[in-house]
Amino acid sequence: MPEIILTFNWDGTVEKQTRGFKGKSCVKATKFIEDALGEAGERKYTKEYYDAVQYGEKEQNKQGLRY
Amino acid sequence: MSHTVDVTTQITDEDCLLAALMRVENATGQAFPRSVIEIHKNAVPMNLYNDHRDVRANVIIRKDHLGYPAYNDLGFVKKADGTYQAVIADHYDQQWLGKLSTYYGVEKAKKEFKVKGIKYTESVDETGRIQLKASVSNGGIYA
Repeated sequence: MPEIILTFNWDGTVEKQTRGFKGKSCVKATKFIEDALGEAGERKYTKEYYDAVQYGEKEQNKQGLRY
Repeated sequence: MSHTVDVTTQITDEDCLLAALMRVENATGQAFPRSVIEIHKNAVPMNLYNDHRDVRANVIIRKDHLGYPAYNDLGFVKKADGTYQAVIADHYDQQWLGKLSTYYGVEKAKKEFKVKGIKYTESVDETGRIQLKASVSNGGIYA
C-alpha cells in the first residue's frame, strides 16, 4: 500500500517521503500535505519514480503500435 | 520510495497552533495549559517592556504565565496573508519557535490526514524526531 512518511525536524522543517506510488501519481496524490504545511523546497525523485515513468512510457508506445 | 521533499513549516491554522502550544515545553519544562492561552479574533495589545508601540496579537500568553519573571507577553499576530508571526523574547527564542513549529506541523498533518480519511501512526524515530506514517488505501487520489 502506498505510504507517506513525514519526519519532523526540531527546527520546524519537515522531510516528506513517498513510497509505493505508481509513477508520477506520488506528486499529485501527496502535494496536499506540502500545501498544508508550508513552503516546499526542491523535489528529489527516486529510482522507483524514474523506473515507473519509463515503464509507463514503454507501455504507451506498445499501445501505439497496435494502430 | 518515489520522491522526497523538504518543507518549511508556516503557521496558518489557529487550532493547530493552539494544540502545538499545549505540547511544546515552556520555561518550566511543562506544556502550557489551555486556560492561559488567549485567542482573539481581533488582535489585542500585548504588554512589552519599555516598548511603547501598539503591538497587538491574536494569540497571547501573558507574561505571568511564562514560567519565569518575564517582562514581555508572548504572542502571535495573524498577518494579512493568513500566516502567524511570533512576537517572542528571552527564553522563548528561535530554537523554542522551531520546536513549536515542529509540533504545529505534526498537528496540522494529522488534521489533514483526518479530513481525507487517511490512517496514520505517530512514533519517534531513532534520532528522537517525531514521525507520521500514513497509509494511502485508494491509490492516493484525493481531491
